[in-house]
Amino acid sequence: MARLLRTVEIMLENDLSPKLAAVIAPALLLVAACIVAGLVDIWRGPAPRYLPRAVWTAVALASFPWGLLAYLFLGRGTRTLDEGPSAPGTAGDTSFDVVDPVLRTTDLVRRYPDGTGVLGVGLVVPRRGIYGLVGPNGSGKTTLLALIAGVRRPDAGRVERAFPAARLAICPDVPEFEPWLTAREVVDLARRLTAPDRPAEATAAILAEVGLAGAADRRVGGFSRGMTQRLGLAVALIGYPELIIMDEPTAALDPAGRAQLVALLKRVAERTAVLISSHDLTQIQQAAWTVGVMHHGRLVYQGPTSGLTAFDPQAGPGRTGDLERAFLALTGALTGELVAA
Amino acid sequence: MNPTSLLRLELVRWIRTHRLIGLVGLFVLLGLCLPIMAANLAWLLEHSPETRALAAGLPSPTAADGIAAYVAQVSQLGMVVLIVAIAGPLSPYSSRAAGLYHWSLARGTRYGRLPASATLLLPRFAVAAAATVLVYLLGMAGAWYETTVLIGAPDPGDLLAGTALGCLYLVWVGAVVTLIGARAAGQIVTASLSVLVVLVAGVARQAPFIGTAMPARLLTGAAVDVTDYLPAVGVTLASTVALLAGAVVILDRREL
Repeated sequence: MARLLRTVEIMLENDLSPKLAAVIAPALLLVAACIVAGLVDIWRGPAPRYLPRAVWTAVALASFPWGLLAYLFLGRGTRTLDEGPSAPGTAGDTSFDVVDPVLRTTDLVRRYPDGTGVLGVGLVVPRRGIYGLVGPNGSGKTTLLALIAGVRRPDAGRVERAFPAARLAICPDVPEFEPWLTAREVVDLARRLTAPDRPAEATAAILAEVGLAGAADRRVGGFSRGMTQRLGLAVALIGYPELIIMDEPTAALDPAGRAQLVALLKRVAERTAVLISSHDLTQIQQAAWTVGVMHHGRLVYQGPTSGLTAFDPQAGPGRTGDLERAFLALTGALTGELVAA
Repeated sequence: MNPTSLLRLELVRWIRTHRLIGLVGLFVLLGLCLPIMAANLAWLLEHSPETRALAAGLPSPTAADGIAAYVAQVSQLGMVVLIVAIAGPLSPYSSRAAGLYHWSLARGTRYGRLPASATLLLPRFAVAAAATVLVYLLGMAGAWYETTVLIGAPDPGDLLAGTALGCLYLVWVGAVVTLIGARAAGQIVTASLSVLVVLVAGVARQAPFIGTAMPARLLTGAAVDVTDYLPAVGVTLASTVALLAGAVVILDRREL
């Protein structure tokens, strides 16, 4: 680095040809790129070994390239987990026995700097029906869905799918499409790109199935949230999905819109697996065949929806448990304990 | 026109969002107006008591001045508008919901061994760059016409060479915005950062040492000796490829 700077200095002192100087410019750019990449890695990568990040930064800058090479070969850390997969409440929840599941996660971990995230989740999703994932805000539901979809990377653990990755569809709580396209164009573009073997007539059929036949030629920029949510489902369905992931699908809908969407999801779930996250316990009780309860990044219950009420402390012989009390018990009094169905 | 592929989707975007027509209007306007001002600069200065003294020492306008006036305005106002216009299409993950939609569209199609992010980014870059070049050429055609009528015809060889270099620079600007758009959190951030980077790159061409190799040097009205620009052409081509490769890698690693 010093030699390069000296070369530059000499060239400046001797007023060498600008053309010759231009030859040096790419090298300077490369050096700058290396330094930037190195610093980004020091600060954004795993915690480095031996020295704090700030000291590694100083070393890398003061003695380029040697400091950066030393960091790369010696100091660069690897992702480590301070909690092993066998910790209580984080082991793969194999007690929920599903024959031929469409998706299974094993010890799935993703930590955020504030300590939240997903901390060793073993989710098992049956091949048909709605799987409802419930939990308080910040319990890790959205992160878990993103890890399953492959749009975020886990720190540890596995996601095993019984189908190709392209057969997984994901819908956010409020989907966004190009507002200047019509509903028909949105679904047809998805058909051409995700399921080109499907005939063009499938677009109209899917739009009719989700109740958007009458709005097929309207631009989606003017759609209500309910219509946008149903359009998201249409885009998912056109690609022959084996698993549809929906994050808080009814959160932004009015009661009528919720009822319509839940009815639609129930129909869809007869032919494919649907994994939804929700705050609405009543809705989950009505729609989901299977439920998973997340709390502080852990799965504290997984099993049939009907089995969840058994965790109501007031439930007993001849007295049916209450779903909300059961949920509160699982996410409050039984914090951190795995309750297998 | 229907969006039947990601490339056609971009073409439809530029037409339906009125980006193309807006840019064409602006650049043609600049091309038609600025040579008029260049041709009549002395006359304009004479009509103001404060600037009358300046007018006396002003040389007669040349054909190169007419073209240079257009290019100078493109490098300032035109550049800002251009970057704002292309920042939207070049920010595919401007929000999580939009990102998930675009990601799900692109993941099934691959260009050879390139990651899916290339499928998403490259058509956007190609159409944005093509549109940028097109509006610049249309503006240049207007500037050439006005200059020819008012001052005299510029040397065709110099003009063609200069225009080609300018187009190359605009493609580089598109690559800069593509890289920033792959990482930035939204369109406004992409546009702001891109304007800043292009501004700094523009200032850097005045630098005594590396100025001759800076991409911004290519935005010239008429290039008398093309060999003077070869270092900048080399750096521009290499950095365009690097910027696009970086954008593809960044978008591929970006989480939603």
